[in-house]
Amino acid sequence: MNRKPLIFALLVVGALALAGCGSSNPAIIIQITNAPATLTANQSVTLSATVTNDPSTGNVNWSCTPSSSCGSFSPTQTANGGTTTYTAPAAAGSVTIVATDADHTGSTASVTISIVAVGSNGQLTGNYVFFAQGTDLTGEPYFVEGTIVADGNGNITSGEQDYVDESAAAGPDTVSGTYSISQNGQGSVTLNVNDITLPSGGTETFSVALTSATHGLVIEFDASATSSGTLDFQPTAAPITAASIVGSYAFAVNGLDSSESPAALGGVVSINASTGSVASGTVFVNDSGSPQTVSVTGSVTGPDSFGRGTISLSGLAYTYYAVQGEVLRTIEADADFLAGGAFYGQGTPGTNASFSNTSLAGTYAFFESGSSVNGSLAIAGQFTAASGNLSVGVADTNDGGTNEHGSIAASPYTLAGNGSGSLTLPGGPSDTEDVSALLIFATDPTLNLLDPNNTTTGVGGALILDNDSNAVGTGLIVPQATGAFQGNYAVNLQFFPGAGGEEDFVGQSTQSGGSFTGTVDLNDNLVTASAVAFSGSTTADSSNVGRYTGSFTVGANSYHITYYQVNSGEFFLIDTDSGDVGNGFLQSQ
Amino acid sequence: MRKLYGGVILFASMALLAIAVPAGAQTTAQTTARTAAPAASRYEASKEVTLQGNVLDIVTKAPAGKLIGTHVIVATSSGDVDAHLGVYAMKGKNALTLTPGERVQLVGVMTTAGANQVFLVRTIQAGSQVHQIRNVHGFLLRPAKASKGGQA
Repeated sequence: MNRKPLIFALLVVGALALAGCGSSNPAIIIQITNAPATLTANQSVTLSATVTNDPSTGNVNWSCTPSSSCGSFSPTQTANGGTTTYTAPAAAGSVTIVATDADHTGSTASVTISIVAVGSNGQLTGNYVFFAQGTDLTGEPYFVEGTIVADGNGNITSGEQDYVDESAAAGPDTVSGTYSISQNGQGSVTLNVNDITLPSGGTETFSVALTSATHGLVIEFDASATSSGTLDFQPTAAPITAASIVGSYAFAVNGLDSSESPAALGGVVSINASTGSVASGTVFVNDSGSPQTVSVTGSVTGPDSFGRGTISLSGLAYTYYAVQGEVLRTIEADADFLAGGAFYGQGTPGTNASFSNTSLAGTYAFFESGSSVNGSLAIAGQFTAASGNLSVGVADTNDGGTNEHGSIAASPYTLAGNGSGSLTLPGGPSDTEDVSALLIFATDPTLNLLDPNNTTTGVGGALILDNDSNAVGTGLIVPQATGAFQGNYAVNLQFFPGAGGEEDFVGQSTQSGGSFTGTVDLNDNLVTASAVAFSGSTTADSSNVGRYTGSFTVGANSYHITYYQVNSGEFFLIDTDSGDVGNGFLQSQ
Repeated sequence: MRKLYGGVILFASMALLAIAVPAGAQTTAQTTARTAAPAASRYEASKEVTLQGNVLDIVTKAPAGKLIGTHVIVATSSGDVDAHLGVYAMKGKNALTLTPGERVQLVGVMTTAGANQVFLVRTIQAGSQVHQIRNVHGFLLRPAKASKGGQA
């Protein structure tokens, strides 16, 4: 029997079939984005799934396993590229998130997320970027930043950090250490830094108040330094690479110039870590009331395995640690300035976002910290923005111990296409004192400036650079959503150096009926005290929804505090005493 | 640790760069913010005055309503002046020391802070020592530089 025709026919059919598969029915691909490796019990996160090669609707059905205890989605079906809010279950464990093509149920994608209990060493698992600024034992301002790798069992297995004060700079230094997180999210991290020349002698202790498995507030809690800062999860499931750090970035840093006078810098720069270049940018400098504008170019290195890299802007030198591609905690240390702050992306990496006056629309809360001719400076407030004008605004200013509470009415702002603009506050007695001329730099509308891994609330906003002749500082503008608040909150307050030096505290409290109770760790001018009794009170300002007045009591000391609500989970705080200047945060757990 | 501030001051060259960059290389319309008009400066060198007098009192913890930091009450020929030294002047290894009755010369600007008149001190001379408290823009200097005599 001659089998050649049959074989030939089969080959033709097979070839046609393969060709048909290749040309008209390419494989459907589903990709889940923004899934973290770890979530705290009951924590929510926004997930998205994109479907390609689906000739149908491209809708996605969301599910998870184990089905009876894996959490929930809202909504359970999304359009192609749409977002759903996933809320983790109440119990710790491992869950698998599944995105299924609604029209082709055989096409799925999945990710596994570790759910950890609130208050346990397991809450710190993976890489975390920390950043803090304050005063060390030399009496000088200092900045410390780095990445630590927590094993979930109380060990910092590896990491590296940079430390800079007025006299010297160190880093990257390798770190290891231990940590402990208690049930209420409070804890301690002790780092053994491979550098005995540091003011700490190489041992740094931080007190932590976690708000979730991906964010916390910190202070340095030892006799070598006191400071306040943040701790943020650095996702490693999709490692941060040079390609992650490409696009336009807004930045702002606050510190000193080489004559030890207050200075702050900010601007918008176009960074490409893949090519190693900073193609263009404009840096605004307020050097003790002397404003300058400088066009810059420069270079950038991609992140190392801990997310560390460097950025050079025409001689200005920054070291960064990437929380993610769009969030770079940074220290500036060069011949001209010593400062700290952050770079924030203005849009999806690789893109250059476009802004206008309408990019600021709605109600916003803001704060700034820095210095004026009177001394230390803090301001917090809220306003409504629309079409280039602020209205219905109010602010509290503590200007060297001189406190003002005033309205912000009909103040103009501009925002250019690159997100760089200005905002004018009244500036004057009974208004905002020395704070008037602010430069603003818009950030990615999908980015949460206060908690970068939380993309469910409070996204968007802008950075502030105070460009006044009487005041220097930096701050944030973030969308405001007023309303009820209740539950557990991490609290942090930083009092700037006064007659008694700097004081910082961080801790945890429960809020009910407008009152807070809890404990904090206190570093009062390098004298530390653990688990100090903390209480607070709030009284709503009936004329300004979102503003509250009240007090904090920490041990034997009481402080007048004004709260500006960012949303149900976040508040800006300003100390309104005549003997102290400070500001801080309340963030829900 | 590496030493900082040990090298050439680069920022002057940056300023020159800003001037030297060809106009065509700048993206002025899109990249330059419209600078807000700042409030009138409360500390201007052109408004500085020099006062002489004797120290009446040294107040290291300011009462409520006064600027934080050390205040020196100085008896001048025009009356008593509340002179603000800030939080750094009397700190550090070369900290300023004053005694009641001591003759001092102050350079600074008189202004209003809250409801109070206060003299923001840029330099204070006690004996042969001149201590710089603020820079020429009125901002307080940190101890390391503020404590250096003869730097005015």
